[in-house]
Order: sequence, then C-alpha cells, then structure tokens
Amino acid sequence: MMQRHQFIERHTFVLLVLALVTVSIGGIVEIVPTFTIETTVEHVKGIRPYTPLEQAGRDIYVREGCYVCHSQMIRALKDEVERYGHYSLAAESMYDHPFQWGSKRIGPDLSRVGGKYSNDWHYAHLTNPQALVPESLMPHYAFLAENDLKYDDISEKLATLKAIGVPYTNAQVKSAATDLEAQANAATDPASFAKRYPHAVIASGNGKHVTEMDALVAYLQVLGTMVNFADTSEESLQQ
Amino acid sequence: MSAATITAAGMRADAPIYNMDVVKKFTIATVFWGVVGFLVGVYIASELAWPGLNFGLPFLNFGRLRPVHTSAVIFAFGGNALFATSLYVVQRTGHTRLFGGKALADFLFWGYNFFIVQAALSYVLGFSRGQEYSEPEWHLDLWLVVVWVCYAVVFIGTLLKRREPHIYVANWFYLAFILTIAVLHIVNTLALPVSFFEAKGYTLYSGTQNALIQWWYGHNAVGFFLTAGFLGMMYYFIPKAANRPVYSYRLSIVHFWSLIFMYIWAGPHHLHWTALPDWAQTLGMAFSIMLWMPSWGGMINGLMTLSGAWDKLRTDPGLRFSVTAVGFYGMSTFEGPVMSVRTVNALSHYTDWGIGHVHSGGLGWVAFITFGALYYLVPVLWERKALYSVKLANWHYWIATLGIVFYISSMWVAGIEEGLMWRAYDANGFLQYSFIESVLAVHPFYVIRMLGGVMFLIGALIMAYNLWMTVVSPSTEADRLEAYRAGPVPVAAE
Amino acid sequence: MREKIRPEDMVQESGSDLFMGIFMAVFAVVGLILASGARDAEMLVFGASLAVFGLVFDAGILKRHVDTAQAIAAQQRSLQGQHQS
Repeated sequence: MMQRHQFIERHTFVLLVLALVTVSIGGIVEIVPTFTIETTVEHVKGIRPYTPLEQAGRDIYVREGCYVCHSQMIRALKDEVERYGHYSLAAESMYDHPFQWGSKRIGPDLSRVGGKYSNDWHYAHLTNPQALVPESLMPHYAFLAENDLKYDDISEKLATLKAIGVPYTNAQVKSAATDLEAQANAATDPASFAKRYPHAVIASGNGKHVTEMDALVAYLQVLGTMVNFADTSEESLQQ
Repeated sequence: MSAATITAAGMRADAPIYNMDVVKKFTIATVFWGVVGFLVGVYIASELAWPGLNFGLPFLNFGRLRPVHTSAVIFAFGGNALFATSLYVVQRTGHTRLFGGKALADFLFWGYNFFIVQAALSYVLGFSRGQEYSEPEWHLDLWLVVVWVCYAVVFIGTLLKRREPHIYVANWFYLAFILTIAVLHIVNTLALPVSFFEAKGYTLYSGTQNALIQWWYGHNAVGFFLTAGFLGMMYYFIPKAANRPVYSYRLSIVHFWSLIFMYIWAGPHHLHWTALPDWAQTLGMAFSIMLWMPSWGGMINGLMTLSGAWDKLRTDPGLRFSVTAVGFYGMSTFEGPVMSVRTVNALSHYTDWGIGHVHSGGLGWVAFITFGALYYLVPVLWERKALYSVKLANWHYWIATLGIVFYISSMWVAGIEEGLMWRAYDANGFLQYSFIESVLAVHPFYVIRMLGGVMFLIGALIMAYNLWMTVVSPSTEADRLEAYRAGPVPVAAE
Repeated sequence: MREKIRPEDMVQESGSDLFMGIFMAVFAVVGLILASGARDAEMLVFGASLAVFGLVFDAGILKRHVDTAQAIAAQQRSLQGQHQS
C-alpha cells in the first residue's frame, strides 16, 4: 500500500483524479435515485403550481430568510402530527423552487398554517408579532405593507419556473399580471378564480395597489391546503 | 547595494522568492473578518434574547443578518484563513514560488473578498437564494466560480512546479477541499435566472431532490471547507510549532482517503423523519456513524504528534490553541454521529442542540486551529523575532475557551429542553406545552449564549491587538543575524 | 515611490500581468453592461462594483510597474553617485 501511495504522492494528476473520483461516489449513489425512483414524489391529487401572487409572496418569504426561524416540514412523529397536522409529503413541495423545509424552529412550523388564521390576523401579526404573541422573538415586518409589490416581471418569473419543470400553462404565464391583480382584489369572485387556481385565497387588499404583504399573506394562506388527506390512500403515500 | 544582499535575510541562498505578499493579505483579512463575523454573531444572538434589537428595520432583522453572520464566519473568516495557509503551505512544502504570477495571486485575494462583501451586501438589501450557506444569488455564484477556478489553477500549478518530489500530506487535504467545494458549489447552485439583469434566479431542483442536494452540499461544506481544509492546516502548523514530525504516515493515508470518501454520504442526517425517502435517510445515518472513525483517526494523528513535546503546551499559546482545537474536533465528531442516529435526531432536530453542535465545531475546532496558525504565521511572515505578548495570547485562550463553554452548554440545555417540551404529554394525553412556551423557557439560555459569544469576540480583539503590535512594535524587531539563524527550516515531506 | 527594492519586486511575471489585465478589463465591461440594464438594486450595485473593481485592479497593475521602474532608476542613479564620489 505504501509503495502505491508513494506513487500517488509523487504525481499531482493521479492524486487529483483519485480524490475527485472518491468524493463523487456518495453524491451520485444518493442523489440520482431520487430522480429515477418514481415514487420519491408521492402520487397524490391536488398539488398545483403557485398562483402569481402566491409565488411573488413566496419569493419574499425566501429573500427575508423566514426559513431561518420557521420550518415547513412536519415530521412523521406522533407529537408533531398532533401539533401541526398530517406529516408533510414530498409532493407538497414538488414545485417549491427552492424547498423551504428549514432546519431550526425559533418559531412554529408553517407547513399547514394555510387557513388556520384569518388574513387580518396575518397582517396584524406580520406588522407587530408581539401585539398578538407577547413572548414572540419575531422581527416586525410592517415595511412589507409599505412596499409596493414589484411585479412587472411576474410573467417572466412564471416562464422561468415553467422552463425548469413547473407545469404552468402558456395562458397562465401570459395572464400572470392580471391574475395577480385579481387575486389581490377583495372584490374578485373567488369561484371564478378557483377554476384556474383551486384553493387560492383572495387577499384583503383594495385592488388599488398590491403590497408585498398582500403577496406574502396569499402565500401563507395556501400552505398545506392543497391535498385532501381524507381522499388519499395509504398506498399512494408510500415512497 | 548588490543583488546578493537584496536577497532577504533569513533564507538559504538557493531558496525561491516566495509570494508571501498575498499570504500576508489573506492573513490580515482573516483577522478582520473574524472580528466582523463574531460581532455580527453577537448582535443576532442579542436579537434572539431581546427582539427589540431588530428595530423593525429590514436591513437589521434576524432573517437578513443571519446569513451575514454565517457567511462572515465560514467564508470570510474561514475562507481567508484557508487561502492564507494553503498558499503558504503549498509554497513552503514545495520549495517553489506560487504559480501564476503576482497579478493572479492578487486577483485571488481581491476577487474572493469582493465576493464576500457583495454577498453580505446582497443579503442586507434583501436578496437571497434561501438555501443555507448557499444564499448568494446566481450572479455572485458565477463570480465565485471564476475566483475558485483561479484558485485551483494557482494551487495545482504550484504543486506541478514543486521542487520537492513528494506532495506533503497537508496539501492532499487542501487539494481535496478545493476540488470538492468546486463540485458542491456548482451542482448546488444550478439555477435559471429570471433575467440577466435581475438578481433573482430559480434553483433547478425542487422539493425532496432540492433538499437532498442542498444537504449533500451543506454537510460537505462542513466536511470539506471546515474540516478537510482545516485538517490541512493542522497537518502543517502543529508539527511546525511542536517541531515534531506527524505521528503516523500510515494513519495519514488511511485518515485522508476514508474521510473524503465517507463525508460525502452524510448529508441525509439533516433530513431525518422528513419527506426524504427512508432508504436515503438510513444510508446517511450509517455513513455518519462510520465517519466517527476517520475523524478520530485524524484527531489521534494530530494529538500524538505532540509526543515528547507536551511541555510546549505550557509555553506556546498558539500551539495550545491548535491542540485544544483538535480536542474540540474530537468532541464534535463524536457528537455529530450521535445526533445522526434517527432516534436521537427525533429529539434534536430543529432545536438549539444543532446550534450548539455547530458552534462547538466552529468555535472550538475551526476558529481555534486558525488562531493557532495565526499566532505561528504572523511573526514568521513579518520576520519578527516573536509574538508581541505571550501573556495576551494566554488571556485570549482562557477567555475564548470559557466563552465556548458558556455557548455550547447553554445551547445543549436549551436544545434538549425544547425537544422535550415539544413532545411532552400531560396526564390527559394532550400536548402539554404550546410552542411559544418553549420559546419563553429558553430565554435565559439565549442570554448566556450571547455572553459566551461576547467573550469569544473579546478574545479575538485581544488577538487582533497582539498581532498588530507584533507587526509594528520595535520590541519584536529581529536583527539580521538573529533572523538568519531563526529562519524557518524547509519541511520534509513526511 | 518606494525607497527599497524587495526581491519580490524583481521577479518578472509580465505574462501574468498582461493576462490578468485583459481579464479584469473584460469583467469591468461586463459590470458596466449589467449595471446599465439593471432591473433591481442588487444588480446595479453588483455591476457598478464590478466595473470599479476591474478599473482599480488594472490601475494597480500599472502602478506597480511604474513604481518598480522608478525605484530601479533611482537605485541606479544612487549607485552612479557612489561610483563618482
């Protein structure tokens, strides 16, 4: 062994290639099958791409680093399921670019926060968390309500997501801006909107100008609501 | 003056003209970013203890500042330390000047630190990819690739033109670190920008696959950036400071290959009980547990190098830092495998125990081995006869060590308390505690943790002062004959 | 202008200087293009910073050459001075 290793130590490229091969093995063996094994992402009904407003809100969630304090992954553990709801499926984050499962809970898990609180509660909480939860460590996000949502590029964003595998239709990409404004307007008829995007929550805004907080709340309100667990079988949840 | 006397005192007549200018730059940057990184850490720790410190300002809030801290300590402090020491070691052990010329070397320094500053600025402005230790958006990721390719060219080029036939063991680790980080970074950051003129891209992967690739990356950022690279540091600076050879050549070989092979598989232990398929979780757990062995092999190799020179720990504070670092390394690489066991992980995941673990490794191993290298390197690089004050270095050592103890013990207690509270049931079979009760319960430990961080920062400030005085004080000025006699002796390959 | 010439300064690496000079000039132009078309604050900051970085870096290379040449010339003058006295 020593002789052969002396050879490796005397030849830079041998050392380089061997090291590169050695470190490549683990990654290939672990990562490739998650793309090729079909059941990695469970076959469940109801998962849909984010609406333009939800996606814009998600992008705000990502840039503000919300994942640093909040997880979005309910583990298959008894106490966790009891506290937060059905354990999270891989399918539920299949269109999440990037995933936001989180690694630390300084605040509670948000996987199924959708529908648990009213829009008004979210606006109040984001503006001043301690007003609703005195011991909260969360920073104030009042500035989100003051920032107009920049969405001149929302069609391009959906087109980019479509290019990397999120199944938006061409019509959805084209009408992204109009759909965003419709969802942000409390006067919009929810039923007609739900035809294009089921389970989308109409925001509380006045439709005059859309704020970043409108977008974030729309995103929070859809979390965990897409899959009807009463309607799924145990087999379909096997990975 | 003739050409012969222009040749610096302290070097043998046939010694190459090393590029130490770039090493000096990186060394100064290491100290600077260390202080910055620790300071930001203290601030965000304070925000968790007293959330009023967020002040409602977007550029000061915890969510945006946390990546500033992690990037500053890992990539700015750790990264500059790796650049400084790897470029020093590859030249000295190869007896050759750095490949690529002064301009390329200067680009490494300015280009890398440009990346650091731009990344931190971007987070504060509200731009982030939302993936841990991989937050910079696509344009900065591309820039880093440019810098990193140049780094590989310089390092490998210097190995190729070495005059010493054997590649010394420290360089195996540095090389593995450089190559692996390139692969990890490129694969993990693959993304499609929304537009070339927007600092926003969408990562190619999603959901479960994204999670696995992210933690393949994230765990190996620890494994190769913070471990393999710093092991390279250990394998050079401990033998040099102790004036002893590395304990076992055979162990070095076994350590190196088993470590770089096994580390890669450990990623899934960040995803236990999640929507990652079970088979991947099990693989990750198995390899994480096995990883304990090569890690302790390295620890033994480092510690036993002190055989016959243990008395130096009393007199050489730099060496004391390095050896203590190896001790913390052993501790963290035992704790890690323990936390990778699924049953333990069910309690520890999402709690502050993870934070405690990260900091015992980050402060105890990474920072301490860097301090040891800095205390050795600064007098040598600036040709001073000694460190300005051994006493101040001792103060640094004890304050910093106490700081670490405060930090990790408070986080262990907080973490386990959180985990137990989340799973506690009352007599009627209902969950006993609301989430917010667990937040309230750990407040005192957040205060203690912050104090631990303050101590660590004070230690670093003492070090910065000491190193500054070492460079400028007349009391450390070497006279020519002394410098010649004390000049570093070329290192044998084994 | 530096007083003392260090051995480092005497090492001739003009190939590296030329390559890096062009390399950084290209990046400076890239930065300028990104900044001028920037659609958000970050791309503007990055592009402008990159342009400035490229310019300053290249200025640094040129300055180093000028300084070294001046220092060598000054040393030669002082040597001639010693010979004559």
